[in-house]
Amino acid sequence: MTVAERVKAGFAAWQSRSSGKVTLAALLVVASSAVLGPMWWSSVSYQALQQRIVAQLAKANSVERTPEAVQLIEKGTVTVDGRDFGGVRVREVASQLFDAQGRVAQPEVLASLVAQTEAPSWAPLAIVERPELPLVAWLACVTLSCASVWIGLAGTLVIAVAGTVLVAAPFWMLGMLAPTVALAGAGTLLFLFAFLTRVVMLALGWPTPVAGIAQNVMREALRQKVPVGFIVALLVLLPLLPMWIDSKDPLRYQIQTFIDRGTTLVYAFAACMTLLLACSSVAFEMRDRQIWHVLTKPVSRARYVAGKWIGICALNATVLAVGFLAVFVYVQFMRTRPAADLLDAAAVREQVLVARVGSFPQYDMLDRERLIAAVDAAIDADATLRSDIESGKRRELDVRAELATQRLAEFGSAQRSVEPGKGRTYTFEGLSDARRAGVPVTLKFEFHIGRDDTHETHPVIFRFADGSWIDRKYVPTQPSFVTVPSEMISESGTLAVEIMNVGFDGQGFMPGALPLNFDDDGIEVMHRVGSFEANFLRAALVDWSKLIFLAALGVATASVLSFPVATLLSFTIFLTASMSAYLAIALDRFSAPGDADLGVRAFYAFVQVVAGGAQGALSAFGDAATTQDLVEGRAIPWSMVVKAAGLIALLWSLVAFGIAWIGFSRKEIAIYSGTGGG
Amino acid sequence: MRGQTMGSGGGQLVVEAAGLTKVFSDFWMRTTAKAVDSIDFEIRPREIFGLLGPNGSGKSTTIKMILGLLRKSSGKLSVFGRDPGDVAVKARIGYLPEESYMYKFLDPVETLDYYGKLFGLPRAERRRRAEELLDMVGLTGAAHRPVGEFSKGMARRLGLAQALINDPEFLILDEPTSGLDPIGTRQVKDLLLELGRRGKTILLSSHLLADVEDVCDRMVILYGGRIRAAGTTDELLSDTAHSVIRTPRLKPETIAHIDALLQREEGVAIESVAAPHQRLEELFMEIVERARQEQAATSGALHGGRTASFLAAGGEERPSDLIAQLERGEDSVRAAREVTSVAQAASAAAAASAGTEVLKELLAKPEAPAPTRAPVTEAPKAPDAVDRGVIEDLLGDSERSGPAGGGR
Repeated sequence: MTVAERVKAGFAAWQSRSSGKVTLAALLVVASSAVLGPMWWSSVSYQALQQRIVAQLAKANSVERTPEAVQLIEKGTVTVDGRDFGGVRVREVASQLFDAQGRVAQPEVLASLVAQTEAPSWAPLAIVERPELPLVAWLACVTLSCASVWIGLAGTLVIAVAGTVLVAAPFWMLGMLAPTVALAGAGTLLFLFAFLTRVVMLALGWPTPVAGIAQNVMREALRQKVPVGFIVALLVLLPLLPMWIDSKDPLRYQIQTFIDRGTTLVYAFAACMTLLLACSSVAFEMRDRQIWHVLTKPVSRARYVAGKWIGICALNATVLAVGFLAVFVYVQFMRTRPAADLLDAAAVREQVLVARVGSFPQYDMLDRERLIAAVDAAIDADATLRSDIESGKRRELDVRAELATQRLAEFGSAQRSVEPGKGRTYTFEGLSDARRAGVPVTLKFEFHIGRDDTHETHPVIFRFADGSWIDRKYVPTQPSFVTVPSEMISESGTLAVEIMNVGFDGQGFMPGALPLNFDDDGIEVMHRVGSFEANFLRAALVDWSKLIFLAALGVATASVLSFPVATLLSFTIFLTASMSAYLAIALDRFSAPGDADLGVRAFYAFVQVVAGGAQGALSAFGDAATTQDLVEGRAIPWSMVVKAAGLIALLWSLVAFGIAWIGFSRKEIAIYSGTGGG
Repeated sequence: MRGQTMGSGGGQLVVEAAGLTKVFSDFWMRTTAKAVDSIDFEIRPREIFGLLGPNGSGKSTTIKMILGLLRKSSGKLSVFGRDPGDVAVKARIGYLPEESYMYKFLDPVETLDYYGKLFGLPRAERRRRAEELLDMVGLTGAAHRPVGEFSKGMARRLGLAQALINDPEFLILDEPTSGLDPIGTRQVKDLLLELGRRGKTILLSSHLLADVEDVCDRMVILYGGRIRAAGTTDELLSDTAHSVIRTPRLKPETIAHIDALLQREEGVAIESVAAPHQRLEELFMEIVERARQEQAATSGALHGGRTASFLAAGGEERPSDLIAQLERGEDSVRAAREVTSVAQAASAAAAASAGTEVLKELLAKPEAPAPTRAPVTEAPKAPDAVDRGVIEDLLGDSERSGPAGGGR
């Protein structure tokens, strides 16, 4: 036994005794207090300063030109206890901070900006600004430490903390905050993963075959190269992600980019690991014959499969929990960073870190009679078409279908186009909740104009039912936003907005240069219905439901197929399901050329049937995509969570097992090991 | 010997096979191999039953059918009176396959804990049994080493431990001494005899004649998927044509006197006179024991400890059990484990079936008395004059004697 092994064994023995547990827990509580105590005290002091600044700002009035207002506008400072706080950065935005009555519109936000220079550099601003955070962090640390000691992970905790400090300290001493946070995050995540894994293993400690097999799958995953590679890569890459985000971008884009990349990375890694682990765990166990030992014990085949499935689902839950928790915590950290401007700060608050629902405008529909009349008119007006139909060169049905599609598209486009100097009114319904809550709604728009040069800006004015209007400049093809007060919504929950292709230069109005137009989802009104936190939790649950199905898919295929074939089939189904929306679009455009012969047509028809069938059957998987909704601050409804859990996680998994069961229940587990003949 | 049925004793049979057949087919359902061809046999409670045969003779296939890993093609097969696929039956069985297919990422403690959990054993019980079993198979020193680092012999020992974790009533061992060194081989054989005495039923499959000969009460010899010979060990191995007298070393004149006496009294002459020499196995054991007493270091498996107490406690014979057995007529099983004299063996051999002809052919010119049923670690045996290498060649031991299919 080496010295290290002896030390480890001695530490483990000490940790297992009550005296060791109490001593270790006390030491960890003291260590947590020593780190977080000063942070808490700084935070409380900082908070008190902010409150005194807010009290001073309450005296400022730009209309009455009080001394506080004049000082704020001219110097960008606020005097508290004879000392000036703030500076140039405040002065740059000061004039925009007063409302119509001359009072400071958002004194808390401004106080935060003024006091920022006083924040201690050695503690994250996110913690300093909220005194409850150090307390919560202390409680979390103490709980985690005591729990770690209790479940025998104190050694791992000490090694993780010491290792992280050793690696991150040089960067911190050099003032390199980003790598310091990244390395501290990686250390924290690795320990958190170890902690959650131990908890799950303990939860699977029941003396039943299913729990035993599930626990063994967890052990397998944590000791085999491929799954460990996935997990470590994820937990190391995740904290590094912020380093690849441009800090010069507006804060909302930084947060959106991080949410997008972070959740995508976690889900993609978890999904690939799930499929590989599920396929290898079962297929290799059959190939290497460990299954002989298992199925000669009192373990039915159904329990064996269930144990494998539950084990992989438990591992998924652990990976997903750690990954999503890391994304969530870092987003909370990012939201406290200084925004580019007040609009940016408002966008973060109202458009990104929220849960909103959207409403599209009501468009006129082209009824059947009008459509038929338009098609008839088009055929009457085109002599060539008539000639082709009469000569049998083209079938009349095909021509009519083509013309009908064209007319419908033209009719829709015409409603989504505004000529220069003109306006068109759009009505959004179902906004009663927003009116009742009195929360402003967001009008999201994405316009096309001319050649869609993204280096140009074009003017547009939005006019509301009461005659008030807002002018904006937009970049073609880029989404933009306008905040609309809830008072603009009628009592019936309807918002009418006239989009005017007109500009305002401060002196007068001028028509736009070119017709503007947009796609059928180009304008949308959104309003807040919930918090980002709850939305994030729902996103995690939906993703876990999908991973549960992938685990079932991998186990089911590997129970009847060899590892390479099972993996290939599982990944094919996974990719088809994930890209079902794109597949649907591709299939819409996939048709045999008009002059194709029968063989080619048959091939196209075959592909349509197979791919269309797969797309139709798996579309619910692709529909349950949450990342884009999180990025855009869209609410992920509980109905989606229930649908994902019931349909994808449960029903689809049962279907996968059911299909595989036909083969697995009859499969001979052993093979012929003789020499033939006989 | 096709269709031959072993005689039945009293009590519920542990395994009953009648006309048992296994045919392997390819994807197009064409027969590729008839691994087991209409065999009949029974395994009675508390007996050590041997399946003897060369590679490819159908031993492992038969075992896999008993365990439900393969399905029979035709015939009848029951284990404890139930279908082999019945999950409840497996709670009473311990199984050691021909290779120790262990999880390389687990250590021995975790391995035994895992298999104990599959039997629903509580944590404390699993821990206790694991400790005792590891001590028993000599792996305590490697209790926390990954199994992936184990030698074949160490993995085999662990395989044996896992087969005993549930204190099984019926133990199925497929080539249990394969990969073991002579010490391990002897320990396993001792353990089997010990377990047999404790009342376990054991099915031992092997192509190593010594394994089967040393421990089995009854056996069948398979070849080409069929039973070629069957009976108790004594029935099959007794040599009624010769007598052996063992004395301290004699002078040539004394031998000449004895020869003269034999010619006068019996009308026969001494065929050969030999001085016994120590068996290599015994010499090896002595050397290892000496090294052990000198406390020489080794990184491999250690000398196994005592039989795990839970096995002993669970299978201890009570007087009432023995009386009940006697009343049921199971004494024949028990008697088979007693030391038998040459004379007894000779009388038993008289009733041996025609199937013994096969063994007689194999065991040409026996010069040693029939083996005893005493534990192999007890008194040294008489020199084994049978050339086992030749026998095992005949039986097709592919590892030592060339192509396994040569005898097909």
